[in-house]
Amino acid sequence: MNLYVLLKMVPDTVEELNVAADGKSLDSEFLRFKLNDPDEHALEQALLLKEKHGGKVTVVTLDAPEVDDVLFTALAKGADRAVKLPVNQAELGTVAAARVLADFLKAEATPLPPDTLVLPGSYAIDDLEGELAPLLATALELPYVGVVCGIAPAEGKATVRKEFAGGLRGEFEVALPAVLGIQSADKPPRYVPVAKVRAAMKSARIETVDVPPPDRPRQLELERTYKPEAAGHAEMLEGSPEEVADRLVEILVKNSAI
Amino acid sequence: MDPVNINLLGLPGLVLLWALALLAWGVFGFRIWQLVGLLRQGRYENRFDQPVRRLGHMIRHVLLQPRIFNERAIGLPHFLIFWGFLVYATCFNWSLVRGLFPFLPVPYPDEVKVVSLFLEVFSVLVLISLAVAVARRLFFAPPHLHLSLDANLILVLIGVLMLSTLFGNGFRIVSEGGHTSAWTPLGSLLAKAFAATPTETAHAWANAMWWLHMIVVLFFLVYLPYSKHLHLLAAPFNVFFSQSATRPVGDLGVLGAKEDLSAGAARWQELTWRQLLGGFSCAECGRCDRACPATASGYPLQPQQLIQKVKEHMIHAGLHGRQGNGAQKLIGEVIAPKEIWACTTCMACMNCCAVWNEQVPLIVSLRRHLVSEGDVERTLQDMLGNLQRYGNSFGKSDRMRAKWTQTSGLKIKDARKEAVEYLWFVGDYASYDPRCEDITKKTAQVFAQAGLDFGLLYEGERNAGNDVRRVGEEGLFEMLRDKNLQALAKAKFQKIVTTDPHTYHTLKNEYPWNGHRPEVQHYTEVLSQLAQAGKLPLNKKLSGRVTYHDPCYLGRYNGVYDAPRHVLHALGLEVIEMPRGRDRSYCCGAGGGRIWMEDTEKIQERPAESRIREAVALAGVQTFVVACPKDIAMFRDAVKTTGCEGKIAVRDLAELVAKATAPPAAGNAATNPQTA
Amino acid sequence: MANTILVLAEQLRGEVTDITFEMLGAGRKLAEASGSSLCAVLLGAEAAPLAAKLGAADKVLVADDAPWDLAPADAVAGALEAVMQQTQAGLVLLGCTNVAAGIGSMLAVKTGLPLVNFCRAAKAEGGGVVCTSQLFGGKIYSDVKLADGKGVVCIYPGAFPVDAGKRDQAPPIEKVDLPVAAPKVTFKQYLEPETGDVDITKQNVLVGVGRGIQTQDNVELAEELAQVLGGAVCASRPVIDQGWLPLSRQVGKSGMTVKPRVYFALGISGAPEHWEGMQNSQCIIAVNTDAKAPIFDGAHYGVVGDVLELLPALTEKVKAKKG
Ligand SMILES: Cc1cc2nc3c(=O)[nH]c(=O)nc-3n(C[C@H](O)[C@H](O)[C@H](O)COP(=O)(O)OP(=O)(O)OC[C@H]3O[C@@H](n4cnc5c(N)ncnc54)[C@H](O)[C@@H]3O)c2cc1C
Ligand code: SF4
Ligand code: SF4
Repeated sequence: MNLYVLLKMVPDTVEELNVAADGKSLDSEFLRFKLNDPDEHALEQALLLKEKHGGKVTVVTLDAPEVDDVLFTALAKGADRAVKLPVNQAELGTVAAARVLADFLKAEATPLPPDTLVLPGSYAIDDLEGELAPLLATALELPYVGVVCGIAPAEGKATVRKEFAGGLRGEFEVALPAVLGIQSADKPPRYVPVAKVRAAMKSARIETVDVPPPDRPRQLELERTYKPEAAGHAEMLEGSPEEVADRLVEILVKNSAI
Repeated sequence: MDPVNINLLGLPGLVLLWALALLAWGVFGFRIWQLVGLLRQGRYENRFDQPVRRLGHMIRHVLLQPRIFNERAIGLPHFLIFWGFLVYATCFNWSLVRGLFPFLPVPYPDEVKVVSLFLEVFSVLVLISLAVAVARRLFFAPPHLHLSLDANLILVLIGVLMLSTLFGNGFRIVSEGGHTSAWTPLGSLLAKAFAATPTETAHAWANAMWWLHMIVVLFFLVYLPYSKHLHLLAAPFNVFFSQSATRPVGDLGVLGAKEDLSAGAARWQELTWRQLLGGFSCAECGRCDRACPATASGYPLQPQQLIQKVKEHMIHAGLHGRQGNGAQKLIGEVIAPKEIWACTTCMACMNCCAVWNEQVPLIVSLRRHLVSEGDVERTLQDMLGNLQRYGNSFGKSDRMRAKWTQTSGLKIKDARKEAVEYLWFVGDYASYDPRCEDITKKTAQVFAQAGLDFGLLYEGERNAGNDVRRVGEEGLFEMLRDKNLQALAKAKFQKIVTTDPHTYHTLKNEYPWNGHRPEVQHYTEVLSQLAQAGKLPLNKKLSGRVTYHDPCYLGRYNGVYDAPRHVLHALGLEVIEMPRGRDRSYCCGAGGGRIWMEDTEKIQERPAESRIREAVALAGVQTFVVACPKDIAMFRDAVKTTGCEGKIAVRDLAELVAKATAPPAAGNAATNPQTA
Repeated sequence: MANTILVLAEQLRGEVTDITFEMLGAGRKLAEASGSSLCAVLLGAEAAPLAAKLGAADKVLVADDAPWDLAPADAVAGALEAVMQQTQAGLVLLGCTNVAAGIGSMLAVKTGLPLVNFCRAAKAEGGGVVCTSQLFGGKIYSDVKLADGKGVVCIYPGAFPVDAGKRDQAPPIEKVDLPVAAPKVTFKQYLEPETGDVDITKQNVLVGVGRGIQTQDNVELAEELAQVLGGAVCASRPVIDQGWLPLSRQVGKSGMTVKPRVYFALGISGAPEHWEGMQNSQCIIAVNTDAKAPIFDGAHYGVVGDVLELLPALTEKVKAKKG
């Protein structure tokens, strides 16, 4: 199979996120980046498919801090090719990023071979302008399924599982090539030991492929960016069990649990 | 009269003896050659350093066998059987050589009076020992003692040897005219009993006994390297080549490795020759199984089995040609990953093994293979990911490491900016675990009150890598180690003090330091020195009985037993020892990365629970003192799960010191440690 | 601002989902503030009977000529584009849910409108709409202005009250014909959640019990609450160790990591090993007799009191509320 995994770096929420002086962007002082979680599953799913059906896994990223580590890790895990598009991800919204990636994929082969799967993560925590997978599918005019949690390819098509809610899933049949937004792989992402990543850094290479930068990097203008009020300590509810229960019911309603 | 001067089936005795001897030694030699051939297929490691020290170690532990005496019932009997064996082996060879070369101008050993007396006394002692050993096997077999046919057969053979000597002496005296002698007291006694036997018959019996003796011993020679009694031959080498002879026992580094060992061992040939030799040396005594907390808790790990499985697999695969397709896989088929992960690396097994086997490095080699295959359970994987990214297992930002200092009320020096005497390497748990925060602050206060000149690396510190290394993630260990060494190289300090015993061990014994190894101390050692120097302002006398839990990595790994006890005594506390005290301390279950692993199956009793029950049974003890931050998490949890709240409280040693050094409040002189 | 606000009503297997009411509530407010009308679009072969529930809308457009509810995202986006043209709508609200995944993005590309994802608050302001998006897992909020009030907004589930989108009135219902294209993705079948024990990582509401629950019988009380809330019971390790609940219900470091909308921590002290497994829940309600229990440091709401007293009262009130 011909598998493209699109990897995106997102701010690491373990670090404290602060708003920069412009009141709109994130303060870069303590900002660190990590691979978006669902993308990690997309990579795993691709590797599992390759192990089972053969083929080639290409991981593709835009330029972002710490992205080389992620690419080498992917290579150490078993990806065959790592491509970096030298466009600064931080300046692009999802719409523009989709355009850049679509250009790259079109340049790879038009049309894409029939055993191609393009696998972005289902969503990213900073997808303010929408998700990459449907945007890419539109740009490439390929079929799309999102929130995918299982893929079984067959001649020219694939049976995929989409997660609905509460453990309920639906099975869909998709004509290939297709773009599938991966939520979770068949197995949790594998661990790759540090020694293997180091070996990859020594022996493997990251390809850089030039693409034209998009004319309009962002769709949306931010008015203001801020931190939500921190809770700090629980809001204490007082009164008799009945009174407390009444308050709790309100809270449950507010949180859509009733 | 020479027992070789006989004719059997028309063959002269001398020819027969030569034939038997050549056959036996031939088979023996072939087997040894085979076994050594197997060892040579293992990976190289240098265990030839400091031969003199090694020899000393061997002499002490082979000839005196102090570890055998750890178990009373079998200590003396084994000691006697061993020495009996040595004496007999010497005399046998003497006898054999004399028989093979009749022209030699030497008597047979039993013809020398002193030797004969010696032999007789020993036979009796050995016979008694055998009786004890048999009784132990039959009636009081300790758990995990391998009750094989092998072992029983050997006891019978030894018995036959002893009896044949005694009866041989008896018949010889009769055949030579019945002159009893004080040099052969038992032979004389037997001679009296058989006095009625005609001389000729007695002579024949005496010869028969000599031959019986020879044949049994030659059989023994052939049989030995095929049985568990191979340990007789292999163990002395095993002891000679043991790591503890020249290096800290817990250092997982391998000297002189020719291959990269960080990917671990998937096949037996990928273990080092010394790890393979361990299988030949194992006496199947079960000491390690009896000491192992994983075994006791019902995890699928038995250190003895592990050693045995490797040995059997090696012999099957290496000698019986079961290799290539269809061969069993060492990991997965012979040894299950579950077994490999169950070990807490507590060192209890290695600490009691009388042949100095090294289970922990073996287990870690196997783990390294699983890690390199990515075969790591989810929770552990998360932790390793956290350690790669943030340098701590808590998955918190590295910048938060010294957050506790902000509320400690102290201004603690930054050793990267100003020189300090002690660099305090705080460690993950003491830095990040909210349960430990208070204890860490108190430790800092005590240091400050005692006038200790100390500082931190602040966010420059990383997890020291002890558990990471034991989990088998060698590359990550190296990464953490290198980052720490870089940070340490920039700091100005003379000594290191650590909170965590695991950190202590790794910094002290596993960091290379390039010749500038600073003194590394555990905080209990520092506190003990401060107390001795009278620098701890003990404002309050504490009173009452406490018990103290020796952390594996402080006690067994590094022999620090007395410092924490000194401190407790200095505070005025009475330390009541648990039955499993000091080097027999029972692991809390956290080590070797176990604290990061999931319990996927129900087990009988967590090690920490067993330990808490042990402490609760001590009369008048309500305080369980620990000296390791992980112990706080493990034992406070175990107190809850055993329903022992109110009966016992888990306290860090530093908390008690802080209580005693707190500026005097009005009134109360003696305080119970419970109400800290 | 546009004259019509569209809401893509969401349904799963013949049930209108909560997000629909959340969107209707949010849309209602915007419509009133800007003098627009609120129009719900309900798609699906058997959708018609559900339309009556959408009383908060001024009008419900129903397309039941095809199994639209299981149609691929691009087909639904195409259908919505057609509806927008018919109704002159400029603002569309969709659920930021698995069911609707991708529809918003595709619609935005088709119509050239901007899309605002993860919206948890929206208000009309000077002819436009200001949306608050929650980014980075809720750590940061960003306000985005749709100056002309036109755009596609994906509403974050649980951010708006469900009640506000329910009205006891029958809305006018209108059938629409929508273009059906040959789909490249076809629905095959539903895969039911694996039977066996419930998967606590997939629940919206979890009732977590700790040692404060005291006996196995009392776990039953928690079970009742979970049942009326449509959630499941989970526990801290000591409770699991007792064998009162199976291992699959353990939350924490050596158990599951969960992120429900509401997590009850009943008689759970909040040890770090437990906290690790449930800290990312959207709303944590802790009940503990000990006012100093560490769980209160991280929970959103706290009650100092006996869980055994509170549980029956709460279960009753929830039952009453649900009617
Ligand atoms: C390596 C390791 C891994 C662990 N993994 C996990 C894990 O995955 N998950 C996990 O949960 N734990 C785990 N633990 C255990 C953890 O440390 C705690 O011991 C455990 O979470 C405590 O459970 P608890 O809160 O139910 O009990 P407790 O800490 O005993 O808390 C009981 C609480 O109930 C309150 N209470 C008592 N009666 C009432 C009442 N009538 N009404 C209201 N409140 C009442 C008490 O005030 C108290 O706060 C682990 C521990 C270790 C060492
Ligand atoms: S180190 Fe401890 S847990 Fe591991 S095998 Fe030895 S005794 Fe058992
Ligand atoms: S490994 Fe050592 S302690 Fe264990 S059974 Fe063998 S000889 Fe005994």
